[in-house]
Amino acid sequence: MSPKLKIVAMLAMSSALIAFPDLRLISAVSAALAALIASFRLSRRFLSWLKPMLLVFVVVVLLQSVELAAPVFTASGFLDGMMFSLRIFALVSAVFLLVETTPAGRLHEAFFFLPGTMRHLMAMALAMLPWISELAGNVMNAQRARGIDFRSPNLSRTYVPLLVPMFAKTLDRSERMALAMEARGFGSD
Amino acid sequence: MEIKIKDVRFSYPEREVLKGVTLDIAEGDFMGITGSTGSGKTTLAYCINGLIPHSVRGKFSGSVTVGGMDTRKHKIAELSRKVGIVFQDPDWQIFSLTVKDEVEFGLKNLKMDDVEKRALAALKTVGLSGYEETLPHKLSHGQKQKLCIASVLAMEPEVIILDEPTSQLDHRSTMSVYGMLRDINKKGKTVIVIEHNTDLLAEHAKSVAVLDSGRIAKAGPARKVLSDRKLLERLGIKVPGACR
Repeated sequence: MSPKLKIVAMLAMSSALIAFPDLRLISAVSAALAALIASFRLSRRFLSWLKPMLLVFVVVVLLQSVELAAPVFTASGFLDGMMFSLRIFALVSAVFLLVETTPAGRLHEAFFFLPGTMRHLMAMALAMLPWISELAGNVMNAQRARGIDFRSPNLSRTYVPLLVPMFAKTLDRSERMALAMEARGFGSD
Repeated sequence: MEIKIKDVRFSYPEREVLKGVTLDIAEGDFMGITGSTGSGKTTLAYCINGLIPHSVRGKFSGSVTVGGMDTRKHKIAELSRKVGIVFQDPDWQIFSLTVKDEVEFGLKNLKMDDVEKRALAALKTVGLSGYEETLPHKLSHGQKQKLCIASVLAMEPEVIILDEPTSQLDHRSTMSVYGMLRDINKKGKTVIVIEHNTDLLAEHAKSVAVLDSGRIAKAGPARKVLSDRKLLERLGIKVPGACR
């Protein structure tokens, strides 16, 4: 399937999920997406994608289920929470399928509806992802070597040494990249 | 295409880097620019292709003409047809999703003809044929450096500037890049290389300019300049084996 068709299907599905707040529809779409992911043998990879979001799903369902003023558990709140979480699940699954089943070189075609410069910027952002992930790995290793435990609950102690060098390096690269693009005639129109 | 640099001074907001550089680079030259770290080599390169004064913030005076074009009066896009620059770190300049897209980027910006043909020819020149659809991030450092050179070569500029092109390469890749630069130079292009490795300059460059704290300490035929042991030792630059 072409990346254009995939993004059109993804947008249509997202609009339908928002326009028709029906738990059966959302459950059916979510199940279909999960089956599609399984058929591509991507389940394990998908679970690692989904892992950080599981806590969000649980918190959303809990907050919706409990009427805070009373406080009592309500079935309608639980169903609302389930619907909201399943919607997020379906959207995440669709994005995952788009990214994982499209060759990197054709991913930017999915943004055909954007103007030329915006499309190029999207492609650039996608091209930067492996670099950012590698940078995060390198910075984390460098900080681990200096005794930082990233499992520690003290977020300021663990994440500041990760985020500050990452921001500095990313900004530096962005500035230099802008120079390199200008040197090759970008924005000459 | 001759380059004339006359009394060029440039200060970044926090410090003065170039303090009156005057240098002529002849058409078809293979010039090496060397000097200690912070002596202004990269800043001088930015002056030649117009990034200074158009894009880099700072105070600029003096004049740089490339084939008669005053860099102050022409846009970077116009100058980029004449002068191509390969930056020191390939990761600063590669931003496309495939090798071919990366090479075609400049050609499309300048609305050149035969985009695909030129891109494939440039990739062939640097030995990257067959990698057209590869994600650039998956290339080795040497291959990325070659990709950056191909991206500039495809635009067919008369002058090619390379900022420490081999600083992160192994010996074999270094020799391969310099061999390629010599071939490009033989075709009549002017090649300017910013290089710390004076052995490479002694072997490949026709002329050399030594920068010292924003000024030209010495410029002339490579062997002659690189034989000035006193100067090189004072600046902490290695005297190449071939010139001892």
